[in-house]
Amino acid sequence: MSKLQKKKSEDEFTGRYLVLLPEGSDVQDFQNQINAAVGISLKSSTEFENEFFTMDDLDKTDGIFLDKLGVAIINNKPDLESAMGILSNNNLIIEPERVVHAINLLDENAQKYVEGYRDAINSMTEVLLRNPEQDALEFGEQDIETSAVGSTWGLKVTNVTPTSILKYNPYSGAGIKVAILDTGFEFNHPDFIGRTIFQRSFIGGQAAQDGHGHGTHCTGTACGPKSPAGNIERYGIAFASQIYIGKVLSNSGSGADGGILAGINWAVASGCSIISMSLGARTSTSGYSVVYENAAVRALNQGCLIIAAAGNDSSRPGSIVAVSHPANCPSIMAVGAVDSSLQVARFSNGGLYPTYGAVDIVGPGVNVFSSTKLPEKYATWNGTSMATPHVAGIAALWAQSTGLRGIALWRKLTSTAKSLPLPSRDVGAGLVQSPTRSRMFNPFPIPKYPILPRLDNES
Amino acid sequence: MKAKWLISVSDVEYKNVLSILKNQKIKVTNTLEGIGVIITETSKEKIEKIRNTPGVLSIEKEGNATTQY
Repeated sequence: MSKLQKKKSEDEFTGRYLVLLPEGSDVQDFQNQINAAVGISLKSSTEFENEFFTMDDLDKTDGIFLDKLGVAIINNKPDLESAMGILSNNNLIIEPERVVHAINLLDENAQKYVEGYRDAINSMTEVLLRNPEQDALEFGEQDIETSAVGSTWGLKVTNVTPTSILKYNPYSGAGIKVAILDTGFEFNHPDFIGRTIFQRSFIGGQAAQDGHGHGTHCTGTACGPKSPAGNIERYGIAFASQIYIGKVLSNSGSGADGGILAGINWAVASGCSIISMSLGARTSTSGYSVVYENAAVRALNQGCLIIAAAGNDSSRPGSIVAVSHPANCPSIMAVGAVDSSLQVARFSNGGLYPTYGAVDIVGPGVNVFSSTKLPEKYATWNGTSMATPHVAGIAALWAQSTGLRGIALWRKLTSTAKSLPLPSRDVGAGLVQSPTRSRMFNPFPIPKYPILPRLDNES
Repeated sequence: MKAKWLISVSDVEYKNVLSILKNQKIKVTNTLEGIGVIITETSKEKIEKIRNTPGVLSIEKEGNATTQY
């Protein structure tokens, strides 16, 4: 081996070995085999508190057996390499441990590669650490939930509450901060009792309390409860997210750009990963707001994705109006609306220009049931206003499940959207879809019948 | 007639632009440094004078937005 090759080898491998036991192996038997072959005694990870150990702990032992994974890490010893050769003949998978490095400043391809690698590892971990009893419990809970009170059509078609028994949704938006910039919120709504809600009003002379109902409707869809009070179907998506209410529209339903930008600035400064804006203004001139575009780019760079309504000015099929301000900015995700037949809503605006003002994605926006101000408490409304918080809530689920933020979260939403057989002018990447997980079913036990020898007198 | 104007400003020139606005006696109603925006209230004539100031990326008159339902 040349010096260069030796150096490369030292750089790539630690000298330790990883040994994977076949599923169902007797751990004690394995320990005996290792001891006989190499003369070492392994510790079990269960001997450490919470199965947590450091590299120093590892160095003080001959090796540690990872109880939950069925993998042993074996420290380098004289003659270990030849001993590994003997063990590899006994159905054990043996690999030299590699040195891995943190990766900074990923380019797009590298980031996709690493994301794919991470997803694969997550999937393998899920399978390896799966607890069949817990799965059965989760399945039972979801079954009861959907059969007793159900969920809105919007939550079903976006896979927030999957209709296939092969999938389930374990995501809640926990740990994700979602800002709703709208008419405020009904803080006395019974479905939100006990939720921590941060609030700020950017409307002079009006508190963040929702005197309109629109903000409470949008908040309900994006962040409403998993189990509403009473016999009410589930309408909320990121039910464990942290809610930030910015009142940027007055109780009459309108507001100025200055207040909206101040709301965006507050949400970004508060560490929100997602801003939902079910608001807009019909554009009378060509082009888009450079002020909003620059603000959105800065928000994205700080890990905050702004999602806004495409607008309701169309009257299809005869008239398709361009996406509204500020959703027409290239760095703001514009949301169009579809109905329960997954057809474009007649009012939903379209992407009419090649370089800006595209519809990026669509969400459920017709006959959308959600919370509203008291005393009405609930309402069923139409609009790209209603489609937008579907995308925002699902963005929170993706942010939780993948850790992605900013432009990477945008790409995740559009790359996982369900393609629709409709012009991209109207639906962009398609219908937003929630992350889900696949159920693992244990195979049915197959009885094994003995194969009997054929007797000569049988015909 | 005074209106509100939204000014998009580059990061590095933010403080400098604020200082220029002050020297020009243009009323600043809000500073949103996190997203690079300064909101002012002044006449069209006065705001036009700072359009070519280094660091000023765009100046737009404030508009309104409404709910979309």
